[in-house]
Amino acid sequence: MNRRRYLWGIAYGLLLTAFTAYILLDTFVIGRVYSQISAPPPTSPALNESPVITDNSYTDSNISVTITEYREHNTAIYVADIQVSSPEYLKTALAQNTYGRNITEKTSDMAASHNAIVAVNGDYYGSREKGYVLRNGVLYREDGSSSREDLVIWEDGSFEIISEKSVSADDLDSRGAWQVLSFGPALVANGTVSVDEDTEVGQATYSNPRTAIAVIDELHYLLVVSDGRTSRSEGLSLYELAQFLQSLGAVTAYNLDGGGSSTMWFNGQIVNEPVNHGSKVSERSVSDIVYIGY
Amino acid sequence: MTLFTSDTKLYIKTAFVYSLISVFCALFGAVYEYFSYGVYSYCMIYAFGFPLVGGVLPALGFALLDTPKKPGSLVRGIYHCGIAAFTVGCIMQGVLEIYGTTNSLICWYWLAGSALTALALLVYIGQLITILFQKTSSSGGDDLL
Repeated sequence: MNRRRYLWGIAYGLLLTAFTAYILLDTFVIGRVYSQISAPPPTSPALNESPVITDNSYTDSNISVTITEYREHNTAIYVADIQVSSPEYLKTALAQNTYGRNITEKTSDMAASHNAIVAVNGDYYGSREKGYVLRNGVLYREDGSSSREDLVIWEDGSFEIISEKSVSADDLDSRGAWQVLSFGPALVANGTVSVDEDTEVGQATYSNPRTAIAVIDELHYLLVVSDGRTSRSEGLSLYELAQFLQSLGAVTAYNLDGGGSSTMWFNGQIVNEPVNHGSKVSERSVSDIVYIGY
Repeated sequence: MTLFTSDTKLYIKTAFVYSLISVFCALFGAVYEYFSYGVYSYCMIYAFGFPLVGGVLPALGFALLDTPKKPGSLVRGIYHCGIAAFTVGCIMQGVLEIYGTTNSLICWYWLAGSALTALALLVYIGQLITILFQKTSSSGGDDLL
């Protein structure tokens, strides 16, 4: 009897261990393909001229990108100041051209394969089960999270901050949303800083690497990455990042996935020092990117 | 002379084992938080609460208090399984929160923990009621009138 009782205990322990191992694999390892993007990303008009490219700038008749490094709050901040002639040059891409869970690729690899001029990591939609995913005009996920603020990029290139609690993904899709990024929070809305000193992403407690996207004026955008967790760069709080973006003239600014994901890529090179596995400088694979390109 | 009955010894031993598990969970949570680079999770920090409140305290209670019936091996086994599910589930919730991800399967820990501890409590309460009923019956039942 006593022996049988121990056997039940051992069996239960094994079951609990196996279930836990499965959850870990399901969350972090097992790739699930929900849909493959058969068509290539939307193509913009071809460029019939040679662009002028320097170490920190790119210029042609349609796209102008200037990379500037700032230093604020003992932190390295990289800003890509972008002016485009058409909103279609502001694009997103999914890792391995696939919508799914645990489908990842490095920002630099995705940027290179999509001929990006400048790119940053996106919202890492694949690490969450909820949150709208609408990219290049295609709605992939309509399950929302009531507490989440999204950035909607409309077909005309304008930005709008919406709440998933009050606007459905179908509604955004039918109204012609071109991109919906679901991470947040909004940093600047209508030219005003919309976070306070205590605002954080989930349960992060101090300055981490950050990625943000902002609009200054019509077809004038900023892609911003700040480093953190290193001796060279302490990292910004969301409030500090919002203040910085406001000082650059951002009218609407939105926080994307940060931490180890924060990566900026320009003209074939990683611009910042991404940290992965704590404070080790290396690039993390992510679900998606935001980029400028043809 | 014997200071403790075998039941008392059993519950003191159970309380000791749960104390060790609580200490392990507290240390595990502290180390995990230390390496989580500023991301915290209440589930990870307070996972030790399940073995402490759900294990050590009831075991000490049964060791020190005089009850009509101590929980038998079946009840104890089911209850231990429930506390194990809660504790592991809490740590796993913490792991996912710190990474910034979610998994709907995590709810099965809470469901299993709730179901198993509730079942153990129901069986134990049933046994207590049976004993009380038997005592009342053996005393003639006149007291009920």
